[in-house]
Amino acid sequence: MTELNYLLSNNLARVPGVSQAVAVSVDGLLLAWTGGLDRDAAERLAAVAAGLSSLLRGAAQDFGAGGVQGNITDLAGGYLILTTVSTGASLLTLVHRDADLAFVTEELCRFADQVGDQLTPAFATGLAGAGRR
Amino acid sequence: MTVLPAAAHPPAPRSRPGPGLSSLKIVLTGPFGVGKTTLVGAVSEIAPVTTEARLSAAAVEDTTHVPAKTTTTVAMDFGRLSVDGVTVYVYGMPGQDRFWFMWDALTLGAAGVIVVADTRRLADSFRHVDYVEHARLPFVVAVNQFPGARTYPVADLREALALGPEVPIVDIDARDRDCVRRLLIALIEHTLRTRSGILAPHTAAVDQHDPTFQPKEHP
Repeated sequence: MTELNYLLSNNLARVPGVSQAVAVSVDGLLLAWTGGLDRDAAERLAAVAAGLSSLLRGAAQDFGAGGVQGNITDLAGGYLILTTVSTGASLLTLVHRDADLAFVTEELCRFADQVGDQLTPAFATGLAGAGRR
Repeated sequence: MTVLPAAAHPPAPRSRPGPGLSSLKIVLTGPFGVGKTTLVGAVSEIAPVTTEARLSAAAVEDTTHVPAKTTTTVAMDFGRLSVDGVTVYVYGMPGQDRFWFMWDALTLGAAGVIVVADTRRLADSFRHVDYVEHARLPFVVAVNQFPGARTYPVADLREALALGPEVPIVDIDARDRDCVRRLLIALIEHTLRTRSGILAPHTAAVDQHDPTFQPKEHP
């Protein structure tokens, strides 16, 4: 957790154009967040990232268009970029309006590959009962 | 928008290193208009995430029992609270059937589920109970007591919903924070009992059902 926070704040947040980011497990657990966010907002963003991934997967399935690789949302005040990693975990990043999107998305993917292994911790599923699928 | 790299989505591993009992995920399900968004709003200690959208005429399901309803959840609700030092994350499912595709993703990692029911349309909760049973997740049934709705003996509710004797039934007023906290504690305790094997398959549940329960009048 701390190492991931460090990487997020010291590597990802220093990519030109990146404003804030959260790292989220596949089931919506907040794993790390950049310093400019308070924890409550980061928790909400984690839940939104998990829900957004799920919505997009639903759309991709109905269009028969394969898995979700990422998503870019055009905001009045920037771009919101969802980057998914192989485990289903994701990064949700706010990028400045004037950023070089191609460069930033490439850096996001590079970062996601780099920390992918650390994005697997999740909720305490041990409680979920022996019969869990 | 093809600048992001390809990523496969293998199923999540069955057992993962977790943060122990410091945090829990709970999912809330139940039919349209039964009070899920209200419940999350009542109990969350942070500003909740809500995804309500105005109901359009074409999107309206049967609103006989929810005539004043003008909005519906289109993705999920999310809230967070602390119970005895454990951080509890509550995810509310959308109530309308066309959002079922989100079920598997939103229940991933959940310790247990709350199925919310309304005694005036219990049948609407059947498929939610079926789904949770199929997913083999521990669950409790929360009966949201709408003002003016009839109350029924717990045995009748259990029979009507075809619930096993081990499933707790809890009366709630979804607007009442303390009430909802008790519900969450009931689910956590049920989950722990189920997990630890203390609860044999046919052990009777610990119900919190009071036939005289009446929701408080809210202004």
